[in-house]
Amino acid sequence: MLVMTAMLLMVDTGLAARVDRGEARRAKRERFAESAPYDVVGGGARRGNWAAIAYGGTPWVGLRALVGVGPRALTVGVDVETARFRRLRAGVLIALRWVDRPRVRLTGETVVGYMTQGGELARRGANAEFRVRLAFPSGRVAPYLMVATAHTLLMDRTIVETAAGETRDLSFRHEWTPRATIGLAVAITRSIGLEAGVDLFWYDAPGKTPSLPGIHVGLAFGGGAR
Amino acid sequence: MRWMIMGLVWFVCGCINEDRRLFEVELRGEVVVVGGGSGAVHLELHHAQTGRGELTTPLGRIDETEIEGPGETSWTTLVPLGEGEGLVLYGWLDVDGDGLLCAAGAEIEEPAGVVVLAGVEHALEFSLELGSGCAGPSALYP
Repeated sequence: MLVMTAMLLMVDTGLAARVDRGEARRAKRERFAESAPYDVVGGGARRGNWAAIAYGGTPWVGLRALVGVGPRALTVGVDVETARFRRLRAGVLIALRWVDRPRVRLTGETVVGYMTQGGELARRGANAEFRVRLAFPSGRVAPYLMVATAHTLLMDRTIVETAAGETRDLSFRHEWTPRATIGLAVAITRSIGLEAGVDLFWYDAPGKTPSLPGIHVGLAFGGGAR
Repeated sequence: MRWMIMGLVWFVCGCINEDRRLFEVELRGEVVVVGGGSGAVHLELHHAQTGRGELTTPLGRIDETEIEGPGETSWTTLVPLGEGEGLVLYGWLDVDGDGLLCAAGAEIEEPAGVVVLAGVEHALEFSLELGSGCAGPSALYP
């Protein structure tokens, strides 16, 4: 009887220890789930949290800042980016987490703004971009994927000078730029981290040739109730 | 309301991607074939020169048309401003009616000619003589 009790106790203790170890491992993996670097790469921030990222590379340099304002990590923010300081896009964004689990995050994001490009291929117009961000936070790292479709409305004005005076007409064209980024975020603390990625762009698709891939590294930081 | 109007003005002015100015020109004149001849006449209006600096090059086609034959004619077209300087009118007589200037194997010499137009005005007069066989615009101008 005594031996059986001792054996049961040992089994019970072993199970408890295994459960404890499992929980500890899960806690360790999920410790940074709501960290600022994951908010900027995975999209969205919980109400009261804010995050920002400054990144640079070739050809893109940019700044993005967001703050959580509502349920389901409803987020608003600003997004400014420039390619070689020739093409500039500035906009406001709104994001919502569609899948919100500690180790999987799927977010939809819409950016509305203005795009201007100088040089030989000068163009400018109102711009909207629709993004989907997918991130897999695990411990201090989070691989992520972002796919997006950006659309710019190009409004041309034709002025015809006749002997009787001037006539003006507006016509509209559309520039489509599908893009994707694949990268990795590393959380140093819950408030600060690094991020690096490869950017794939196809300006003025499908008429133009797909662009060469770009790369970037960024510093992410944030605050709030993390 | 005032802010809405200002916003609308900003949107329209700030979002204009490209301003293209076109100048309407009516060409009136006569096409004469040296030595006589009949057939459709192909007319091309060119800038006298296009490009800037070291990239300046003579001629730059603006528009083309076809008229029934030599004689009095008029043609209204649009000249893009800021894309070149001066105007040159080139024409050739389509003797064999194939739509090609002296096509390979053709035995007929089709006469061509150019005339430099005076300035860029809404109404321009010209007199075009077609007398150079099988010559393209760059062979006749400058």
